[in-house]
Order: sequence, then structure tokens, then C-alpha cells
Amino acid sequence: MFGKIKNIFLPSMVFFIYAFLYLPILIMAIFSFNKASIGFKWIGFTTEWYQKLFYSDEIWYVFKNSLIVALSAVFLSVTIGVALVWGLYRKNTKLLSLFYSNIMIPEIVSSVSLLSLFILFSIPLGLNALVIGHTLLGLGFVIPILNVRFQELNYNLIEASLDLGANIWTTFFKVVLPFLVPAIVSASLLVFIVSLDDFLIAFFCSDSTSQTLSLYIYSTIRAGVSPLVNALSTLMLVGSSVLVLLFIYISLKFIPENND
Amino acid sequence: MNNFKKLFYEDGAFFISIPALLWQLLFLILPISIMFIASFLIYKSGTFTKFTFEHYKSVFDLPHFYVIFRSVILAFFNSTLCLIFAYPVAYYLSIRTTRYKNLSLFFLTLPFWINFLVHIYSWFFILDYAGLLNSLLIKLGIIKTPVHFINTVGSIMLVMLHGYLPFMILPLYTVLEKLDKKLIEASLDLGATRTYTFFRIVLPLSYTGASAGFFLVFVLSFGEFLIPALLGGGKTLFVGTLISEYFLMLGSLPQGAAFTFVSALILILSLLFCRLLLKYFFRGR
Amino acid sequence: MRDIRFENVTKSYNDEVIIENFNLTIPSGCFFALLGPSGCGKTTLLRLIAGFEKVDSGNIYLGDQNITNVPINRRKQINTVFQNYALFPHLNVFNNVAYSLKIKGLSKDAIEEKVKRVLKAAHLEKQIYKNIEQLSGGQQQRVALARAIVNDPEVLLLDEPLAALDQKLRDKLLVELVDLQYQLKTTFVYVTHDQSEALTVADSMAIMNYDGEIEQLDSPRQIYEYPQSSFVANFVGSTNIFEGEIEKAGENWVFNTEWGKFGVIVDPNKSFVENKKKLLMSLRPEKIWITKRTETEMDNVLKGEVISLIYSGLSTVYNVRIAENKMIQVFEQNDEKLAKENIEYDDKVNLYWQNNNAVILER
Repeated sequence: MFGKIKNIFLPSMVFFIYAFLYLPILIMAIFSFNKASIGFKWIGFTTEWYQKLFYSDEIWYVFKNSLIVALSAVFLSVTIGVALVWGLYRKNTKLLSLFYSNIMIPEIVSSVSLLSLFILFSIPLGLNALVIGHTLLGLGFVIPILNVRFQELNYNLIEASLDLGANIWTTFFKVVLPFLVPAIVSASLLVFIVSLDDFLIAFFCSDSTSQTLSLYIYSTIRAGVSPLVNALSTLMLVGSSVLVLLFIYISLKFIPENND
Repeated sequence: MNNFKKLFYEDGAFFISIPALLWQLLFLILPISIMFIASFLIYKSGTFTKFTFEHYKSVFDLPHFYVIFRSVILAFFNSTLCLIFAYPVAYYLSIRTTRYKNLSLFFLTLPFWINFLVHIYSWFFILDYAGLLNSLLIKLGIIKTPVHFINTVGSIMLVMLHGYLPFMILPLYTVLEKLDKKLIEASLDLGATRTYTFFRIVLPLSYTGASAGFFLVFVLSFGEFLIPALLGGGKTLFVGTLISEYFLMLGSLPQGAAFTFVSALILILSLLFCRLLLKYFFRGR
Repeated sequence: MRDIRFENVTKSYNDEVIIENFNLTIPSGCFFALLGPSGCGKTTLLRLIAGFEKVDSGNIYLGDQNITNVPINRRKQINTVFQNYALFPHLNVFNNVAYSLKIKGLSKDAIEEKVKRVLKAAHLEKQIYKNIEQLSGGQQQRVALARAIVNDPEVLLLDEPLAALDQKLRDKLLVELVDLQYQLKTTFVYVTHDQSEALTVADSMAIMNYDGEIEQLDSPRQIYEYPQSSFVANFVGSTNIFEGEIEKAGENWVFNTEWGKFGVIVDPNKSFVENKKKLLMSLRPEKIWITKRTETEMDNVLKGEVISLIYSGLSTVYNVRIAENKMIQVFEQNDEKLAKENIEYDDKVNLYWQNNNAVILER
């Protein structure tokens, strides 16, 4: 009996679950090309919403903000993250595991506590505050990813480099860093996406001039359905897919590699 | 102390790890500590004064407590539903050996990467009063006037399931994929039916993945802000939305802090309880 | 106890035919070895008997019972010992062994009695309640074995069970397996690519070649001393192969090669032997006597030069060049502490052997 379940019931259930995951998004994407601004009625194919998007100053402004924050967060978290893991490499794993708990803490807690900090020390909210918060988020991803890659590093390479006369810093830049590149790239992509995706930190720590994409969509949803948001969401969907493909491509390309 | 000295003086590499440590200290540990202290103070006319347990006491008053309770139930149901629906998918993918496997994995992880708000918005588009589902139903003649799908617990649960399902599928898949298929062969060889094998061998050995996914979804669902905020219509309050209300005003910050910590405590207790439940269900027989 | 019989079985995997119209009878109660190179299909045969794979066509019988379409778990008389043991990691030793008994529905006392008895026989009394990861490789292997035989099966399938163990442990367990089979009288089907293992354990063995066909089915001694093809001669042990022509010289046979004429004894059963036919001669290295002296008592001789020698304590293997295009391997046991003669590199030596030590092969 179980055999039958396995052969018929299982694949169909899997299919329905995949459909459940994707249908809403696909529908939304399809209807972003609908002339009608709302509802099921298909009036005609159009790209007017995308054009409106393109010409909307507000959208570009919001997008720019998100981009600035994301790129800054990536730069900061990757730099100090690599520094952390290298600084503690083979020395102290307890401090390292401190960062693994970042993902465990509900984001609402970390964002409101950050807000409290900023208020208490009169640090102005806005893009800078967002960068601080997103860097913190980013560290929680960068450090585990980089740590795994560091574990794969053949320590003999470092010993060989030192044996041949290089000091530890030359060794780092010539031997270790090249080896870390795939992990750095995939961590960067990840932090980039997490930053763009973030809502809570942006919600609490931004001011009127630092609205991000997420905040924009949020405020629009509160007002109701909007075809502009349909189009924007579809674009973000495509963007995310491209980034995922990049991420997977890089991970797959470098995982079976040994220590070249 | 000797260890610390050793760290400091050995090839200076340790120094470069300080920025990250500082960051973690300043922006995570410090704020939470501040919040903790603030939860014992009262905010009056611009400053924090007076040490008090008042905030904590009031958390245990009924209105607040009900919110926490409701969030626990929501998190529990969501995690359980996710587990139930995720298991077949993870299991099915783990036994596939065709070249489509990688493709399926890609489509599995894709939802992770799509902005959460986009997910919510797509449901909004469908469930809104003037949205897709209503128009469709009216057109098909099933209903005469639009139904308020949004602002119900049902829609919240639906969208939460949609949002968190991938979080459950992935750890389950990872564990099931590593399962030695020979164990299943051995079980059959020794006379067990496939059903027996599933409950006695596969299920217990997938416990680690299932519990990892369950806890992840539970923690995330518990503190969820967006979905209740957008789809709950402000009527139904959950931990996430209540906390945000507290923190939007300075005066209620201490109360909010107290509430946050009590919620966190209850979250941990709930997790411990769920751990026992899961352990019994997966490995207890 | 019943025989296992393959009848015209064909099995492909990913469009590659592994075995085709395969026939084999494994007699009941014997220790049967399936020997062959990796990829020859021997593991496939084992998996077909167990039921892990389904035949494309043909039938498998256990005695008179056609088990071709019987699912794995209903083939209760057949149990498998896996190469990597496949012990259930979340169950301790006792529960692993008791697994099949619980399914059968035996009473708690009966289960305990049987499990303890089997574990005692496997020298695992002290490990009964331990977790699997606490056991050594050898102990795990015994648990896997115990788990399979606690059921009193008719047939025990062993898929290279000793492959993961070190040599000394392997040798020890090999002998224990032989004793076990002798006691239980269960049919053991033992798959291996290690010919010395097969020779040690088997009552009867089958050699399979790369095409999934049986080259020879015989007792170990017959296979070793009377191989029926150069494949078998080379796979089981090692040998020197000569190409040449067989010729009748009065009452006797002579084998003509470019390196000399050698006397051979031909088995009258070998129907392929005809005068002036091109055939092969197999001469095993241990059957050759290597010496610098000249002897007159031996039937055949070849002269050559020692190119290399490998001393391994127990024995020495010499590679002797007898012609520009021919090297002969000679194996000599170091049966005396102070050898009567020292044979070194570049020494000129004589290789002697008797007529009855060579075997004529068709291919």
C-alpha cells in the first residue's frame, strides 16, 4: 500500500505544494501586464506600469536608498567579517561561535533594541543607522559562510608559504584571500539580498529621507493593491532569480575544488 | 589571563578581528542590555527614572498575556502545518536521482530569495476585497458580493504557511538526502514493510532536520510582524505587532522592553516543550 | 534447504546490459563464492536474489518456488549482510539484531533469548546495549552478521563484507565465517573481487568476466589448478601464458612455442585439443624451479636472466627474461633460512618444470 502512496500520492502532493508556493507570485507577475489596475478582468497586454515605474522619481529614489544601504552593508560586513575569521583562525573558536547566534535572535528584538540604542545616544536615524543594522545582520551570514571555507583551507599551504620566506600578511593576501574568493562572493550576494529584503530594521531605524524598497511596498500595501507595486514586485522577482542563479553557479563551481 | 595575553601578542592578526567583535558588542549585546535595564525604569518627562518592577507585573495582566498566548498558538500551528506539508516534498526530492533534481532544488530555494513583502503582496493581490479571488468568484457566480478574506486569522495562517514552508523543506531535505539508502534496503531485507520502515527508520533518522526546521519556523513565526500587520488589519494583535507599537513611542519603551523579554522567555519555554513533543513523535516509540 | 536457480535472467542498468540470459544453480547448503572484477555484475546477481533489483526477463527460483516477483520483505528466507554493514544508527546492538524478530511478532522473552544467543556466539556479549558508533569495524561487522542470521535464513547473501577491514582482521573473520557456515549449513553466497578470499571460503565458486558471463564454475582447487581460460588463470592467482601450437608426438603431446618445445599432459576430456591447433599454455609461477645449476631430471627448461626480484619475507618473486619479447614470473618460497644458492640481479638462471604442471587452454 505504501508503495502505491509513494508512486501516485507523493508526486501529486509535491506538485500541489510547489504550485502553492509559486502560483500567487506568478499570477501577480502576469497581471502586472494587465491594462486594468485591479481585479481579475484581463483587459489587455501592456507595459505601461513598467514605464510608469521607470519614470517614477520616487521609485528611483527609494531604489537608490536600498542600493546604497545594501552595498555599504555588504562592503562592511564582508570586510570586518573576513578580518574576524582570519584573526581568530585556529586561535579561538568560542568568540567565533558568538556570531552564530545572530540568526537565532528574532529580528524584531534586534531592531527594536537597535532603535533604543540610537535614541538613547541621540544617534540620528536614517541611512547610516540602516547601514549599521544591516551590517550586523550581514555578519550573521558572512561569518558562518567564511568559517566553513576557512575550515576547507589546507593549513599546509600557509606553512609552505611561511617556509618559503613570506610573512603572515603576504601569505594572507597571496595564499588565503584567493582561496576565499568564492565564499566572499557568495556571502556578498547573500548579504546583498538580505539587505534589500529587510523590513524590520528599516522600519524602526529610518527617517523620512531614508525610505527603502521594502518600506515603500509596505506603505503601498496599506493603501491597497496597486499595479505599480505589481510591476515593481515582478521586477524584484526577476532580480532575485538572477542573483540566486549567480549564487548557485558560484557555489557549484567552487565546491568540488581542492586547494589550487 | 594567560590565554588572552597570548592572543594579543601573537602575530597581531588578532587585532583585525576587533572591529567585528566591537560591532557585535556595540550594536547587538549593548542595545539588548540597555533594553534590559530600561525595562526596570519609568520614563517621565524626558528622562528615565525610578527603578521598578511595575512593567513586568503589568505584562502578566490579561490583555498582554493573551497576545503572547495567541502568538505561541500561531507559531505552533504554523510550524506543525509546515512540517506536515514539507515532509512529503523533502522526502520525495531526497529519493529522486534524475538530472531534474538540481532544477527542483533551485525552484525550492528560490522563494527564500524573493523579498518577503513581494510574497505578501502577491497574496494581497489575490485576497484583497477588490482583488483577484473575489473578482473570480463573483464572475463564476459563486458569491454575489466580495468577501473579506484579509483581516482574518485564516489569511494570516495561509500566508504564513506560504512564507515559511521553504524554511522547513530545506533542513528536512538536507537530512533526508544524507540518509543511507542501504538502511532502507536492510530494513526491507529483514522483513519490514515500507510503512514500517518509514516510521521506524526514516522518521527517527530525520529528527535532527525536522527539529531544526521546526524551531526555526517557530521562532520566526512567533516574532512575525509583517503578516499580522498587513493581513491582520490591526484588530488581531501578535507579539511582533505589539512590540512595534510599544517602541514607536519613547514613553512606552520600558514597558515594551519588559514585554519583549517576557515574550522571549515564554518563547524559550515553548520551544523546550515542543522539543519534547517532537522527540516523542519522532523517536519515542 | 533449497537450491537457488537463475533461469535465463537478463538485467540492464541505464541501457547497459549487465547480464543476459544468465543461468546458474547455487546448490543448497554450500559456501558459494562469486568472484569477478569490479563491474562484472556479481553484486547485481546478489541484489537480484535479495530482491533489491528486479529482473528485466527470466526467473529466479528458490527450490520450486518462483521468487522473481516476490518483494524484498517477503523473501524472508533470504537475508543480506551489507558491505558497509547498514546498521541502524539510532538503535543499539540489541535492537538492531532484534529488528526482524520484532517484525515477526515474537514474544519479548523469545526475542531476548534468541538475540542473546546469537550475540554470544559472535563474541559480543559485552556490547549488547551499546550504540553502534561505539563499536569497532570488526564488531560492527559481527553485529551485521548476527542481525542477518538471527532469523535462521535459508540463504545468507554477503556483499564483500570484509572489504572495510584490515588484513589481519579479515583473515581471522574469514575463518570464522567458514566455521559458521559449516555449523549452520545455511547457503552462503559470498561476493568478492579478492580471489584469495574466495579460494579460502568457497566450497564451490563461479568466476565472472567483464561481460557478465560465468567463465568457470568449480571447486577452488579445480579452478586454480585446471583453469579453463586465460582469464581465469590470470584472475585467480597469476600465471605465465605461452602462445603456441600443440602437436602430437607419438603417444605424447608437445607444445611448440617460439621459445622452445615443451612436453605437456593433455586431459583427454579437453575436446578442443587437435593436432597442429593454435592454443595457449598456462604455467603458474610457483610450479617453476629457478636455479643457476643444471639439472637433468626435469622435463622442461628455459634459460634466462633475472631482471628483477621482489623479496617479501615469506617468498621471493623473480622476473626472468628468457627472450627479447618474453618475461617469465617465478615464485619461490623461502623455505630455508640459509638458502642453498643466492640468486641476484642479472644472474643467468635455468627455469625447470614438469610436464604435468602446465595447463593447455583454448583461449
